[in-house]
Amino acid sequence: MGRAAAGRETRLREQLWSSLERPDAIADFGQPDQDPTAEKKKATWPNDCTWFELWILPCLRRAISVEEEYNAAGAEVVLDDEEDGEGWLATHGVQASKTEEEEDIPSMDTLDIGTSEGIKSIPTYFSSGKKEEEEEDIPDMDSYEDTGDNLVAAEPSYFVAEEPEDDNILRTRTYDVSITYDKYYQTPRVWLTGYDESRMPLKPELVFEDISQDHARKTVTIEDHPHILAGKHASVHPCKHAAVMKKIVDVLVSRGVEPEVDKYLFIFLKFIASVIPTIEYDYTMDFDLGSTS
Amino acid sequence: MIPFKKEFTFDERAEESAAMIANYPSRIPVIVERFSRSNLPEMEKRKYLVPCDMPVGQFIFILRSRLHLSPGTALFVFVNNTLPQTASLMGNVYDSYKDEDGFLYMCYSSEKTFG
Repeated sequence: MGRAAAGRETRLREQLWSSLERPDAIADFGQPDQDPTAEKKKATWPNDCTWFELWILPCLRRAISVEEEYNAAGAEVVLDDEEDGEGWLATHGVQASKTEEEEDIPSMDTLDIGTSEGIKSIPTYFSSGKKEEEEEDIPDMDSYEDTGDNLVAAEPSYFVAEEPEDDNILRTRTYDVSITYDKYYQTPRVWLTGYDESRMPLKPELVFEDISQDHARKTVTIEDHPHILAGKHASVHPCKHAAVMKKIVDVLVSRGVEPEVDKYLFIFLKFIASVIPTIEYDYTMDFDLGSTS
Repeated sequence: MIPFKKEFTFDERAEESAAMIANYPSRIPVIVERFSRSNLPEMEKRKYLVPCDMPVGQFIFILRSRLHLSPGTALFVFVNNTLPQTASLMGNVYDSYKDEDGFLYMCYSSEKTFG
């Protein structure tokens, strides 16, 4: 990388952190009383206390189980195509996914309680008792009981909900994703703080379940967060971030697009997705790379 | 490999996409091709039929597993020269970026991203 290019990149980053507008999704935990432009000349993060955090992001499934689920959902089915013989690859197998869905949804039909003779609801019990004793005394009850029986048969009074034996419950974890400035590499650095379904902090080891297995324990390490004192946090190691951002910016420049510093973080967020495929953090914006060259 | 758009005429493509959408109304016909300057291998399949409610991130994951990328490589997927939001659904991306012939065109590229 030439010196001029390196200088440009440093300047890009510098400007980004001081001029980044605050999208709604990003909470700024900086010190708002400080004037960011005063810090602009520094090559590092303008302010040690400035960092960004995206709160309570849903993580619907475990990254390590995505492949299993994908296979369970029928994986891939090649559909024949007479026209050119190339064939369509249907993800989540067309046929398999349909049956899978039917099996997974607990249905009232399969509960089979309404038709069951074994369990009698209380009104049935009493009305049948009445039927024997009071049949002659109150003839009107006959017709009442008939409708009563029908009602009971059609609408049983109470069911006890039971956990289905097959565990079809989606384990929604949540994540706080924070982005700090790494002084050594002079890039943003992503930190993950995980919570289980009941918002209890996840052990860092469990966080690895939500990280693409290609990256877990290599790119992603457990370290002390520079701004959150409590606990250890998973972090995506930033040693290649600058080079990748440089490549993307080069693509932009080669396509005649002037890179805008306030878009830096948006581009950055795109490539973090391959590390944390199941954490839904990127609701920011599509990024236009300019016209095709 | 000849780009899909050059291999088939507009009418052929429009006819095929209409047929796929008619047969599989809850799915989207996607053409996935390699970014011209990428050094990644070509995929043996370029025509995909994906559910509308699948997030873009998951589709990238599927492509990634088909390409057998080495660890530490990030896969980028462009739609009309745009990096789509990874949390958005394929159906929304299709609505925003579908081609006039009824297909959604995506191209992929990768970078050695993580150490």
